[in-house]
Amino acid sequence: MAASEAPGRISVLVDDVSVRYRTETSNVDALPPAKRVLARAGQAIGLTTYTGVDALKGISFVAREGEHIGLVGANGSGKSTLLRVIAGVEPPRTGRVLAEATPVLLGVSAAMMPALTGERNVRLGLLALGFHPDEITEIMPGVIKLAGIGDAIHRPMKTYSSGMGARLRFAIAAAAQPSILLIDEALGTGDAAFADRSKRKIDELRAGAGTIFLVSHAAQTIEEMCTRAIWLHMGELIIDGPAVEVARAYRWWAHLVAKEDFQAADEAFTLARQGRPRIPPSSGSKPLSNHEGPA
Amino acid sequence: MPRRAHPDSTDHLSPVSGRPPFREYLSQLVERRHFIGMQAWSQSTTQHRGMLLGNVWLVLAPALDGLIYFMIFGLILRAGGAIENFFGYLVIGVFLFTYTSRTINSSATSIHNNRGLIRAFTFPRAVLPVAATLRETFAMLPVLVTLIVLLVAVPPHALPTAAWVLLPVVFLVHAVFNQGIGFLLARIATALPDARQLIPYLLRLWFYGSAVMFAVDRFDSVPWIGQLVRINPMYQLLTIYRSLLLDATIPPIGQWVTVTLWALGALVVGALFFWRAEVSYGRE
Repeated sequence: MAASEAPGRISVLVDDVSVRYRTETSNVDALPPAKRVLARAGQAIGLTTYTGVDALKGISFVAREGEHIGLVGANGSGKSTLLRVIAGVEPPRTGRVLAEATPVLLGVSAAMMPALTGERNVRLGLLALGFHPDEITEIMPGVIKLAGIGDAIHRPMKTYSSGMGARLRFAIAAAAQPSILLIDEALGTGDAAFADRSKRKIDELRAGAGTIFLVSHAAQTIEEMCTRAIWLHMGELIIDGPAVEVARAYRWWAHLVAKEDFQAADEAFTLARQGRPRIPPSSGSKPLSNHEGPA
Repeated sequence: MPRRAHPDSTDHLSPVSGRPPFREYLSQLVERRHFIGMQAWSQSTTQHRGMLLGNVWLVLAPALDGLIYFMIFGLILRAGGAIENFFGYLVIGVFLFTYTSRTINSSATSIHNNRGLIRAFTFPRAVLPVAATLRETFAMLPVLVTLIVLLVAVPPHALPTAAWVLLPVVFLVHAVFNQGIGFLLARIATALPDARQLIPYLLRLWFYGSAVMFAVDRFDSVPWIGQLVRINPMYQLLTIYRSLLLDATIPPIGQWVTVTLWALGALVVGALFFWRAEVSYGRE
């Protein structure tokens, strides 16, 4: 444990979680040889070829009350999948997730009921979260205010821009005052005014909440907001440690990959995986920027 | 914090997903009754949106069905045989079979159509097929009123009798039966999307096999089919409706017991069957 204070109670236990998606593919060559012939024949008559994709491979860790855990990793590394598994909306293939309370997921991807107005969606969402109709009447104005999408609240959700939809979902989830909060890039959406309001709301939730998980491509956000970070790569847990250390190691690696310096990237990756994350040589008090090259 | 002494204790944790024991599952379902109600209501208000006649279609669709079947089977083929009020016989069959077929279709698609909700929130997934059945049951109320009006208005007029009081009872049994079948189909159609293509054909077979638009003795040319039709719970439900509404006779107790057992059996088997796959509904 990296936290300096005495460790809190365990709030989330992720135990050997694996997720495998069955997905369509057009690449028959990637299949095991035994299946290739059949798949080719199937494709010829218009059947879809399926393949298994391991989105998470045996992830285990423990989160404690008071921890803010950032999840970093490239696109498709399994960050959002892990968040959905913790939220309980995506069942793992193996393993289990235990939590002290029902985690609430702030996702941007979930479309609710497109034909209903924003207001009806708020009501429906709050009911789904287990609120009583009387409570909903009470907290409804606050939720609508936090969403701050004006008259659009009376229009069907299918007419919303993606930013507006995200704001509405954020406001609904925030209303639940969850003690375990899962944030999936929600901060990145919305205009400046909303970003400000949502930041305040998240600070408020952080003050009250036990545990927060935050997925972000921006390692900078993780460094600022989290106490601990987990780096995922192709469904595997690479390193789990203090936010600054892990986020910087990830950024360094991503930076090397972007520069196509694959040898150095592999080296940094291997070191991180061995639990010896490489902090870039030039990083001082100011975090590494995209323009800085390796020493 | 009293637990500080044992920071690694996991006794206070519980699984975030997975299948709770059946009894607990049912009580979770009851807790979400308001969610079920709103889900049912919101779907019924959006269904016919954008159409000129809106929810009038709820009544118009089965009425047109009944009219067409009456033209073909009543006036042209004279399929009524010895049935005294064949118009009544037919509309009761068509209207009330429609209730079952609509419920089956709604339940079968309820998981797929609400995957947005499933991906966003944790709740017992049985909420969705229950809401589907509830919605179809509400939608059926104006249809029942239309049915009564037609029975009274169209010759030979079936006039209200004391037996009509039992109409809500058989409707309730019918609703329970539909819920059970709805649970079964909700799981099957989710596990195997192709089932959604197959359901219309099975429903049509069931429709013809329930003696909706001709007398049951037409099936007796092949004795075992005749037997099968008489065992068919839909035929038995329709028979009760018809004897209450057309013959003013209260069916014997044995008939009531049979349909009630069918309904409860379908509900228990359906609910257990649906619950057993609870964790699979979130997968894509």
